[in-house]
Amino acid sequence: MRKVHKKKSGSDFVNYLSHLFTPQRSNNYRSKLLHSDSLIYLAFVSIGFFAFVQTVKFFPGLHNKVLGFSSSITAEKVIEQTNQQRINSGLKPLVTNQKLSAAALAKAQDMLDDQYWAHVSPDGRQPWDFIKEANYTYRVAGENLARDFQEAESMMQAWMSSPTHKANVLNNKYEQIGIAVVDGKLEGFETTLVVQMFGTPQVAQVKTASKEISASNEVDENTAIDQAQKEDYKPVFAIDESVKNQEKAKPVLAGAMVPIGNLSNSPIFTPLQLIKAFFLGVIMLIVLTLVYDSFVIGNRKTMRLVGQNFAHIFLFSCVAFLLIFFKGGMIK
Amino acid sequence: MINEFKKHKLSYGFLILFLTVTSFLFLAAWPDRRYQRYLILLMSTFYFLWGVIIHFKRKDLNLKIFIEYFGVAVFAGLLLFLVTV
Repeated sequence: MRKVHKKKSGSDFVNYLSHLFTPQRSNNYRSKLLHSDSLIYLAFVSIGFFAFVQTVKFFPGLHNKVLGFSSSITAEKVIEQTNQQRINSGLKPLVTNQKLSAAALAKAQDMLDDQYWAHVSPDGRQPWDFIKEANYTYRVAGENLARDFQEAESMMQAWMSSPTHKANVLNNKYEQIGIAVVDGKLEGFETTLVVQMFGTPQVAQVKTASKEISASNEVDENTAIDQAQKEDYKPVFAIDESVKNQEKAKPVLAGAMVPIGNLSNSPIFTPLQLIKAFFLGVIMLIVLTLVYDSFVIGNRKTMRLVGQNFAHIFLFSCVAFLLIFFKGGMIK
Repeated sequence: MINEFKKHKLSYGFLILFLTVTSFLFLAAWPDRRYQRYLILLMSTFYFLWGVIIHFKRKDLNLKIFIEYFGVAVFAGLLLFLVTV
């Protein structure tokens, strides 16, 4: 009796698979997986998986080992890429300034400490507050932010694709640059934050101005701030604070790089990679079912009133193509 | 499937052209995720309307087909939307 029962279960399973994929009487001659109710079910499964990946961050042991970003970005690479873009546009390359780098590091650490991702902190601190705290007196200053990028090249490409970030990179008023590349946990996931700060010290600007106009024309700080605000720019921080912060995070200042590959606990996947892989699996299942459904019905010459399989296949192929080539990373 | 394509070359040609152009615009819009989401909405809406119009012209539009195109368009859009979050 037991054997018979097992055989029946196996047969039921085969019948169910057949019902799911093969057009037949039981599914009204349309693979059950392609019915609207099945699509709704798959949509909920996809949302559920997405929500699961988002909630993994609440399990520190798991997400640190499995999910996160393993970035190869270094401050030197960012500076090199930035200067390359400037040279290509006929501008002077920027010189690294340790005070600006310290300001960038303070800003990155502040974002990790207060868990925000913005130019202005939740307590209202502007980028130029960090620059001032680093004792950098600026004439003009600016800030670009990036996160979740794996290579400096794609990050620079993203900045250059955004008119406002590009304007910062290619601003001929800037003379100096400071970069901080910091690994840390933001919004629940291990990531790499990049803070790029630009500036021109007030002294340098006065020198230039004195050549053009007269030595008596001084630029006061209010003018500098007004200028910075007009151009949407921001600043630095205190040296001893930077030393404190360096102990808390894994900062990468220009000239003091830590190749990420040397870190022992590099995560296996990024959350985006995991979500993309799952969604691609779902799409593959649907597309293969659509092809099989068309093949079976084509052979049987069965008439039925359903949507166009070819159109569905093309749409899902486009979605698969976009998922494969979708690039992660965020800039501000 | 092939015969269906041959019978409605113009309609399918328009669909392929539109989806191809929208796909490349989507990739070109990176890293502007808000613009990418508008394109997802455009792509899904277009697909749904395309399906409804095609079947309406063929005089075989019914509620089941209407819901099928709506479901496919929403599902495809949902997958793309979630990766841009």
